Amino acid sequence: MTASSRQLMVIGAGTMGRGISEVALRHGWRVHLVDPDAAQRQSAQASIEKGLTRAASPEMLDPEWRRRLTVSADWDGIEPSWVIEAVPETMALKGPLFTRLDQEFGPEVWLASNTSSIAVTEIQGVARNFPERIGGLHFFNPVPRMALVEVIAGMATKAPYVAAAVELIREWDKEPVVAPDRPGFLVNRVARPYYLEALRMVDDGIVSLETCDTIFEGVGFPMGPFRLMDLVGIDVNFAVTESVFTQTFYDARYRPHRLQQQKIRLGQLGRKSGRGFYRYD
Amino acid sequence: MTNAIWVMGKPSLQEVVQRHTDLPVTVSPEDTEGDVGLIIEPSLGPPDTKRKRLEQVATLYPGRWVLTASTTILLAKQQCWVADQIHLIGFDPWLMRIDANRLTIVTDEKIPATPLAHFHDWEWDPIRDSVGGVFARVIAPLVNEAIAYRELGLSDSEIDRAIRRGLNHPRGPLEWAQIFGLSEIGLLLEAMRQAFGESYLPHPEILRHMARGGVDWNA
Repeated sequence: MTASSRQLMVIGAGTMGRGISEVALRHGWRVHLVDPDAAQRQSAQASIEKGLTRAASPEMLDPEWRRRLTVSADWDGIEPSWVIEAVPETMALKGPLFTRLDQEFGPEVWLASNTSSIAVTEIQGVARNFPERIGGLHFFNPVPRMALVEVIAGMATKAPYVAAAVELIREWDKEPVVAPDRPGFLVNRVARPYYLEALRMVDDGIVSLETCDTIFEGVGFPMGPFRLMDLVGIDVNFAVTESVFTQTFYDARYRPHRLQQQKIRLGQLGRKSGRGFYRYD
Repeated sequence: MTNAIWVMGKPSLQEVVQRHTDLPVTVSPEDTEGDVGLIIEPSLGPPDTKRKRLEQVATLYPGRWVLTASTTILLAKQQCWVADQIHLIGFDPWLMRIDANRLTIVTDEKIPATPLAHFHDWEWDPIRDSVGGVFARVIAPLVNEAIAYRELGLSDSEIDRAIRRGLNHPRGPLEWAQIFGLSEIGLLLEAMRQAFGESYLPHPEILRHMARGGVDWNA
């Protein structure tokens, strides 16, 4: 397959895939959103439409955007210039997917993983035909509103990839930061103490979680650590910590906390389940 | 000087404290005969230096209330140094330095009304006596993580921008470091290392900065 200019293929129609698709559509790109789950595809289309029409004034939004979006279960016949993978955060899914992408698309097609914590070099390890055109594009949730995108170069990524990625992110009116391919990249790595120290303090009875949140919110953090974990999802936050912990060969700084694990076992995952550290019913 | 507040050694705190009280706030006054309502001792260490300062306060101003930084040295330990000669309340000076609207305090009893009544709008959150307190315990390791990225080629502004834009933090980690100083962050991490373990070891760049400034936890 050969690449066509300003054509994006997004794999995975979950929250991140929808957000990335919405941003690309808003900037005039043709978007092919791929997801094997029919219900997910249907819900994603409605969500993208809602996002685009809500965020942009009618004169700002190209009325042709619907024609630039296709949603399908696979990518037969699609010739994108960029592919961004946004499937759940596990190598069991990402690994075989990148192996196939690497086999089916030529070296002129840039491949990116929207991973938040899996090493890009690990992905390159299963896509060895053209690993130099693979990197990470870590968008933040909610994608349409969050300005930052981490651009991650794996060990085999070449400079032209990084340059193309930075250009792409700027074209989408977002701010790229080139982050090293180390566990948690930049943002998720530096952020770990915000959650882990808070969990340790509360578990040790030094401060209540409500007071802890109030203290941080009182100095300008939009959400204290516990309210933020509830918003992100305690399971999601725990998974990132676990990934950083494992990839650093069990550095004690990143040891996941059992308070989170217990919440997950009880199904108290945060806002999405109606209860996390706080109740939302 | 009748019923004043004295801030020991930190001119930067004077202005902040003055915004919250009608009493005159003075930095390390030479007039040792004056009547002082509250003494603020915000230093984090090293422990021997802090101990000497508190013992001096206890000798010169017995019976006074002292708001003492307790994020590096437990309030219980500081109380042992001065016995009952002065009344100590622990606090996190970093929260005071950034003019937070709520300050954490460590106290044996209920919040003591008399000395804190000098401040008209600060709210006080009692926490347990523990190294790091709450705010500093999070911020110091966050800076420690961020410092490593300098050596990986990122600029301070790139690191700060990433954290502010990616996490909506009010300041980036290197901006916190600018406010509190790398040496103070190093002292705090050293104290946490002794209290909680090796994972709080300050990054080599922080240790180098401390060494260049002659700051040593064990001095």
